[in-house]
Amino acid sequence: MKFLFFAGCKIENYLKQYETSSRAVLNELGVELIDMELNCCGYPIRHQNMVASILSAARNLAVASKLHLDILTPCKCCFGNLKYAISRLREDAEVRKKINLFLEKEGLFWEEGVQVKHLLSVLYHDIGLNAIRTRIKNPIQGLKIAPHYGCHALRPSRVVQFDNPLAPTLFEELVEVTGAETVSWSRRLECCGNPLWERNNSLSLYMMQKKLENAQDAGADFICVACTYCQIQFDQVRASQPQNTHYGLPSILYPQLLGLSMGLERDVLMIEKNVIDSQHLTRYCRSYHQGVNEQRSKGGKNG
Amino acid sequence: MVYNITLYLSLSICVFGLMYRIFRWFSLSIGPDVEGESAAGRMRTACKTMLRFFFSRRILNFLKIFFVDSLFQTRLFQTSKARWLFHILLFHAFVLLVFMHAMDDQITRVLFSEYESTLNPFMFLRNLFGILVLLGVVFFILRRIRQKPFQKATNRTDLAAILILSSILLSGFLLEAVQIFSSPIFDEMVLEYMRTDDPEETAPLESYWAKEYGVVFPKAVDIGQPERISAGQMIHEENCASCHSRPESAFVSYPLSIHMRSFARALNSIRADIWLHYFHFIICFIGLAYLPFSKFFHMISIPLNLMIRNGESRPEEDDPNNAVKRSIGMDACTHCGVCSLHCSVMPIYRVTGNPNVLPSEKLLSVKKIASGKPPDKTGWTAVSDGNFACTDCFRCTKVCPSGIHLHDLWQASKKELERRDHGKSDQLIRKRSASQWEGLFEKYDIPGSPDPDDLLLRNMAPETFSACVQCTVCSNVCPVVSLPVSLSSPEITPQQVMNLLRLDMKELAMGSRMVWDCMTCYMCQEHCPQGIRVADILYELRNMGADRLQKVRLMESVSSEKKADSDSASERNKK
Repeated sequence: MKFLFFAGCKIENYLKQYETSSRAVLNELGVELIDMELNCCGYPIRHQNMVASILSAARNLAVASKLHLDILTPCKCCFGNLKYAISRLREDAEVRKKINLFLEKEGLFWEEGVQVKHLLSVLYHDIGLNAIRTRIKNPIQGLKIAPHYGCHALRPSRVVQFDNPLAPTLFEELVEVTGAETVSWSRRLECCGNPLWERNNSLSLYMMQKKLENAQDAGADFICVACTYCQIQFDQVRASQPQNTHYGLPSILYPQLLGLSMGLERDVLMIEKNVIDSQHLTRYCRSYHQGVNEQRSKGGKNG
Repeated sequence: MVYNITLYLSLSICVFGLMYRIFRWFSLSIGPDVEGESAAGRMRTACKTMLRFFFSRRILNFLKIFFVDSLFQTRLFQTSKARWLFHILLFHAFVLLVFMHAMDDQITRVLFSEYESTLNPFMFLRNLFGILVLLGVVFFILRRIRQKPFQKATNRTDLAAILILSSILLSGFLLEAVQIFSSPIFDEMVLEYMRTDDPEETAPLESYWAKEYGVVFPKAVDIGQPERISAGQMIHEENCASCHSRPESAFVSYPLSIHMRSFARALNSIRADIWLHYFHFIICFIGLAYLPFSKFFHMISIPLNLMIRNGESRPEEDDPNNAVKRSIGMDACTHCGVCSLHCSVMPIYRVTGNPNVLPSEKLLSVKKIASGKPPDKTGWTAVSDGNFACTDCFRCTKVCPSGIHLHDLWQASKKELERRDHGKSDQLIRKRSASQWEGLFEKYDIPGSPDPDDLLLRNMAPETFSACVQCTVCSNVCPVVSLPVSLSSPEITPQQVMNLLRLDMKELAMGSRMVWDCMTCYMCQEHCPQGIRVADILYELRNMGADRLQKVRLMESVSSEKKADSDSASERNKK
């Protein structure tokens, strides 16, 4: 399995641990990632200029099409915008013409064909829960996780086709495969607040706060996300606010959680890089380390 | 005389220019974090830091940066091997030309007692270095022509640099070519070294030089008689050979001279060699005087910038020298455009045509703002839009061959713009209510100028929202509507927006809190029983609002500038 890796602008300098842990997990599961210099997905400029946003996305899609590769992105906003651009290009011939006029100048062309996939959809649909299950070496035990879906992957469902928009189960299933438990919380499908960060901060923080309260009331130990912006919001933005509470409920990136249960190295998971301390996550599987190792050595002898 | 006057004049302009440029490092200011520091205070801090530095071990690293990164330009090597090759040839050949040729009396003659400009290896090397510089110049011209984004971006400073450099080189080659066939120079030399002007005596030498050295004499010289040539050769070996290598060694100028032979007599008669000599040194001195104000200043600012950055990946936030470091960084830009080629938001520039989106052009505007001037004709609005289009991908900073910390500069410039009330549209829109904006938006809805890309505003067509039955499901699921009033009063709710569209009152919606505080979570759209693309419509209203806001800002900044001008004028009158 081979994909063009679309990291997004922020990941390398603001959330390196998401990139390294995603790469490590995918590598372990036999997915090959191709790297290219790509441009912004067009999500940030969508607030201001739709054509610029669609061109940004289309240029990446055209590059992928030239390479005959599908796109895999760990960021839900990148995912959402690339999908959204495809839907606009698909349904409107005039838009398509206009965008292709821009692309032609660079020897590129957009046409239907390139698939855009989010990290979670690749794990769930392309690799499958069963394949993942066989790689779990240190199942997480006794940890309660509140999976946060992220708006732009889930909606508009007609465009993104990620999962059932009203009652999705994909993320819960992926979390449970690691051995962790999931809690059911009413705000799981709501916005993390980041789209309004640096645009209307008090509102953005309020949205996050509400979610955190809700997850904590549901009994979660951790929030789990699979989006660059959501994690920046739940971790870095939250930590930058002195009056913020709920530090007992850190946010963990899904590939960090999965990687831990797969027994991947510390230095690729980089759990210590999360600003709000999530180190105690390892406690939920450390007790298991020994047992697993013993089992494995027994199995080795038998085999 | 003329030589000395122009030399000292240009030299003093150069020195004062350098002092001015260096002083500016302490007076430019970008970013609220460095605001209010005096130039003297900054100088004191910089001096202290430097003193401390000279006695620390980090000085070794400094030397490494100077030799490896500056002389061998490793950062450029990482960017592009071809550019590195041509640049390094151009740079080193030019420096050698300056030392060996321009400063021959001060340097070359001291080192090599037998030095003569017409002797090898000096004659050959001069041609070699000259052609290397010229090749470099041609490469950089071609690069600007071939790479589309640079065609438009090439500005006067880029052209001046290319023009001066190529004039120096071309006039030099031309001068040497003219000197080769110059009979007046021949006559002067004969008089000086043979101490004779007897035509009988010099005739064999004339023949020899006409045949072997390409001198063109006013009257045809007989070069067909072998005895005469060998007689000339004897005189030549006695008087001339010790200072003259074969002209073929000037492998550029000599062929040039041969091609120009048909004009040689005319050029000799007007003493073109003297005129060209004047032209050549005057253009060199113009280059020298212009150096501190030109692109060539990067010879000083880049090594310095690399050294003060000292390999650090991110500047420290509380570094007291940040203001100076930023200024030197801005000065180290050669407008090479590599940053823009790698810019993550290049497509935005392609659509909007706003040059301030591209880092290489944004830097020019930021530099202007830092020196206290308003930005160019593009205006504050374009500078603000360009600055806030940046997605913090750091790519410009990583690829910059001059090692400028561009990202730090953009962080500072964004804060500076916010401080000056030229922040993001979101900040500005909050200053007025929806109905106030409605008035302004209608005022600046200039008929005949459609909203940009109305092509994409398909969701605004009546058939997309006319199905709304005002059931309020969208408003019920909207997280913004559910907020406590203390945080936001959306003024109107999503279903009311649909109603406003039906009433053709989109201007009222365009400035409303509902449109600008929309989380883009698409709950409304997902839940709409009529399948209306509610969130898409809100997005597009924000697009339209942003565009209309741009127009309002443009008109308001024009009128406020006029007001400021008249205010300062009236103040002056009072004084």
